[in-house]
Amino acid sequence: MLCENCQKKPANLFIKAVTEEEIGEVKLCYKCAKDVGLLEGYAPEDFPSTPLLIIGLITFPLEMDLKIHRETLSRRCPNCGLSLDTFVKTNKFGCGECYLVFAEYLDNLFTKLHGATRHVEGDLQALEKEDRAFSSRLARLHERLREAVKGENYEEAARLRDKISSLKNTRKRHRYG
Amino acid sequence: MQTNYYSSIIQGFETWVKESAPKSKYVLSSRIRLARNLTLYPFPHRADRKDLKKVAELTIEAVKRSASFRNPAIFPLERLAALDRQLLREKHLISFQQSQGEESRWVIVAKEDLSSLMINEEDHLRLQNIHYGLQLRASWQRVKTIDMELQSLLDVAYHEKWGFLTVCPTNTGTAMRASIMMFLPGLVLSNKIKKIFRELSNSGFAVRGTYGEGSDAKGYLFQISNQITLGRTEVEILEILEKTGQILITKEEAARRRLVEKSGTDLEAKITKALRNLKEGKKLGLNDSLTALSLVRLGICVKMIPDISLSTIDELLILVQPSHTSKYKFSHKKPSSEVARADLIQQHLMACST
Repeated sequence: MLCENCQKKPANLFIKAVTEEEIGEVKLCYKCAKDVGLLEGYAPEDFPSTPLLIIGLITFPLEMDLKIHRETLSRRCPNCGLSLDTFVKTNKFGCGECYLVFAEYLDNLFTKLHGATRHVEGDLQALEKEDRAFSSRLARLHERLREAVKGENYEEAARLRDKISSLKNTRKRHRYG
Repeated sequence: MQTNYYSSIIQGFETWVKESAPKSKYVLSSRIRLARNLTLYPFPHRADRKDLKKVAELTIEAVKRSASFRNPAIFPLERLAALDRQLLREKHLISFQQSQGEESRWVIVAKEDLSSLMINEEDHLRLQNIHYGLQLRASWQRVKTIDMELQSLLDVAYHEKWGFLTVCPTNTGTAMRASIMMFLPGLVLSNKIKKIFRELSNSGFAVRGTYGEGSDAKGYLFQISNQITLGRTEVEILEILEKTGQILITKEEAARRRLVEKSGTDLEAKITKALRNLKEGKKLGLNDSLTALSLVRLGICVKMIPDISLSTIDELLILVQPSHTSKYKFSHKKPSSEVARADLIQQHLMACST
């Protein structure tokens, strides 16, 4: 596959280009990408020799004046504050929410690492899903209970307490019975 | 006072070595580790003190309420003496990172089988179990039971598409790392090991020499683990690893047979000498001990040494490590680690002889 810019060298960088309206892909050789300033701030060792997607960072459609789309690079996870830029450099997520924030870049990353993009649920997860529903229901009830107690709404609190203990009991019967 | 309290608990821990185990001639141990994180809390490398503390509190609370983690010993690593942290490390209960004893780093150990749960390591939670010999399934059953219960008590970060969410994308999915520690002197001595390991790394396994990569005897131990965590179920990963282990066992078995046929006398002389060193040496260094123990282990496997059991040697492989030896040096008032190690080995061999 040839570089879409010079049409001479093999393309070894797949660059995802992002604008407000669309997401597109462009394939460039290392030299062209560098010449137009696309790799500013990166060292060659940031890029493995295999073709890969670097995150996309340029305005689209691709003309000769490619510019790093700073806004995309500085996109941050609202939960932990990790920027896309830091994620790309360190290869470490900052919290569970980061996965959702950077979701569009993960298929490529996971294909490279695992040869797959999706988790396959084993028997652990099948059971665990049901547990999760249980624990989040329980957490919500506890939350409401705390509020009720804080607001001195004791009737409501008593009702919630009953509900919590009955939920726990059903759970026990279900699991061990 | 506190320090002594934790020391005495650690002192009371047995090792994961049991009297016997399936395939222990070839596989020292099977280990499974699961990584988990709590939703919304920043991962440890981005968390502040308050978050780290909160994650630890929530987890400890959950463990105390759990039925599967009976009899937990709970260690705040920052309050442990450096030597005690090293002891936990040599027993494979905590990682190197965790043994640094930073703030809000904990480990919880189930006293009955030494399952351990590290808190605020690379991920919020790292649960692991080790079994003696080739027993991946037994380890799997145990971590599965604990994990399922912890998940019902804690809000664990999980996504339908990506599975369990971890700090490193190399762990995402099952977040499971399964490994077997293999004893492969036959393949090392017949120069077959390099080629086999190349093939293994090409098919998605990581191979590490346990005490270095050299061709001397202390390098007979290798850890083989899965690298892929996404796109396969836990059981699929375990089955592939176990099958790989079985194939290596067959190859190792053949290599040992050829070795004994071809150069049995030389081998026996080497092994006898190693055993004599262990039994009579006044001072023994770590490397010399590991080399001699590995040779003796081979001697037991090929029936050149009749009166020592594999488990005796396998316990010694842990006990001769630096911190275990230091502890022995202090408690038995020995002048140096080398003297302490020699004494420790000889006492252990004597106590275990029949």
